Amino acid sequence: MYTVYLEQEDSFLIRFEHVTYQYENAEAPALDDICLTVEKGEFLAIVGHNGSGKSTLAKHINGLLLPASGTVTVCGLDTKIEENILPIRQQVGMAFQNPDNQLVTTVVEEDVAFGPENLGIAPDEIRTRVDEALASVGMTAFAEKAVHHLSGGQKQRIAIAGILALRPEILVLDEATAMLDPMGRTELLETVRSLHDTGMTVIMVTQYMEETTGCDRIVVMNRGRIVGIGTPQEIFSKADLLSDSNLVPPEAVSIRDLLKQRGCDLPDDILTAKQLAEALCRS
Amino acid sequence: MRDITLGQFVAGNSIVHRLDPRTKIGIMLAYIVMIFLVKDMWFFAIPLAFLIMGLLLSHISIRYIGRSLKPIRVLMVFMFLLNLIFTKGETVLWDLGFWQLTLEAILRSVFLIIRIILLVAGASMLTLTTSPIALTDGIEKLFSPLKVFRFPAHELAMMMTIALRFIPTLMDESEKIRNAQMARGADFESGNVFRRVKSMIPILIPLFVSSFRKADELAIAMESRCYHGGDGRTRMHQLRFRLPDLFAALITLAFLCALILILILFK
Repeated sequence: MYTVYLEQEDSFLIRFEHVTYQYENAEAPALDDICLTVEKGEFLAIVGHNGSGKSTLAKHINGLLLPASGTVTVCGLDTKIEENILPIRQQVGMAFQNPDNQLVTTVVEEDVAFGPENLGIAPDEIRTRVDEALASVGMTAFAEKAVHHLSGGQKQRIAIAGILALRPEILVLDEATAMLDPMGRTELLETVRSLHDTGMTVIMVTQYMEETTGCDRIVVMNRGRIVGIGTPQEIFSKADLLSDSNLVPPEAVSIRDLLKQRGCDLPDDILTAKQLAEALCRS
Repeated sequence: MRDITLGQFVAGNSIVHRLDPRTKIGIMLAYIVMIFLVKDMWFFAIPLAFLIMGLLLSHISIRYIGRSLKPIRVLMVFMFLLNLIFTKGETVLWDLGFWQLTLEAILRSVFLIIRIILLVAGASMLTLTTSPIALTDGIEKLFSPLKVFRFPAHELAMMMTIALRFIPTLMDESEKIRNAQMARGADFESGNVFRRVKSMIPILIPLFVSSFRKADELAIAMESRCYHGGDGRTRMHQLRFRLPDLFAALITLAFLCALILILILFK
C-alpha cells in the first residue's frame, strides 16, 4: 500500500515548471516551456487540435513520459525520481482513447481488480474497492460479464472503475470520448461529472469543445505551447485564439454570438444548447 | 463469437464451476489417463460416465460440447478414413480386390473417433466451467514452484490472460478488415486452396500491424495502473482448496481405480 503525504507548502496537486519534451526524430518539441498548476478538486479541460501536444502533456502527469527539461510535480512528488513513479500512478488514474486496448482481463470485475492487485492490497480490501468502484460508475450489474460484450461507453466506464479502484486523487481522461458514439459519450461525461462532484480532480484532454462547457478552466494548446487559460466563458469569447488553434467553439456559443450580432439581447454565460433555449424562451 | 468455444467460458455457479481450477486441471489429467488406458471400445463407458456426470453437475448444455467438436470435424473424418483404409484385419466384410474392408478396421476407426471426441469434450468441459482467469491462476500456481529454476510462471499466466482477453477483439477486427478489403474488391471466396490462402494476406498483415499497436497501448494502460511485474502482486480471487475439491478428487480417484480394476479383471 502506498500512502502519499501532501507537502504542506504546496496547495497545488499538479505543478508543471518549464517543461519541455521532444519525441525522437521530431523536428519541433511536443511540449515547449509548459508552466501549469492544477488545484485539488478542479475540473480542467485541455483542448487543442491533433499534434498540439495535449496528449503528451497528459502523459507527463503520471510519468509515462518524463520531461527533457523542467519538472513535473504530482502531490509533491517529482516524476523524474524512479521511486515516485508507483505512488504517482496510484494517485493519477488515466483513461485512454481506445476502450478495447486498456482492459486487461476478460471478466469485468477481474479487470477492475487489476490495479489494486498490482499494489499488493489484501484480497478482502480489493473486493470492497472493486464493488465501490463499479457502483460509482453504475456498472454493478455487469460485474461478472465478459468485457467484449459491452458497448464502447460501458467499456470506458469499466476502464474508469479500474482506475477508481486505485483510489486516485486525480483522474486524467486522454481523449477518452473520442471513439465513442454520442450516447456512450454522454454516459461517460455524466459519470465523470458525478465523480468530480464527489471531490475528484479531473483533467480532460479533448478536441470537442462541447465537452468542456462544464469545466472550471480550459487550457488551450497549440504547437506544444499553452496559448490560453481561462474559464469556458472567457475562452469561448476569444474567437481569434480558437481559430488560430484550429478549434471551433461549441455550437450554442456560435449561435449565441450570431444572434447577438443581429441585435438579440443574450447574456454571455450561455454555453450549452439548453441554456440558450431557456434564455431565448425568456426573452 | 462463431466457432470458438475452446477458451470461451460459460458463466455459471454450479459445483463444477466453483471447484478450484487446480483441482479441475488435476481431474482433467486423470481423465486423459483414463482415456488412454482404455484399449477396448466398450470400456470407454467409464470415462464417458465420468464426463456425463461432470456435464450434469455443471449444468452446461450439451450443445456447447457439440460446438467445441465442430472445428475438428474435418480432422475426425480424415482420421476415420485413414484408419479405415490402412488398418489390417482378418474379418473381411467387403472385398474390392486391391483393398478389403475389415471389421477390425471399422472398430479401430470408431475407437479412435470416440477417443478424440472424449478428449476434446473433456478439454472443453474444463474451459467451459473455468473462467480464463481462474484457469491461468491455476496454471500460475501449479507452475510457481518452478520459479526457483527461473521459470517465468507469472509472465506466462499474464500472457495467457491477455491472449484470451484479445481473442474476441482480434476476431472482430479481422472481420472488419475482411469487409474493408472486400469493399475494395478483394475476393476471398473463389479459387483453389492456395489462392484462398494467399488471399488471406491482405487480412493478416493489417491485423498483425494493429496487434502491435494494441499491444503498445495496452502496455501503457497497464503501466498506468501500476503494473510492475509479478513481484508483490496479490489477487482478489484467492485460490483455496475446499471440501468439494476433496470430494471431486476422491470421486475421480474412484473412477480411475474402478477402470484399472475392470481392465485387469477383463484382460
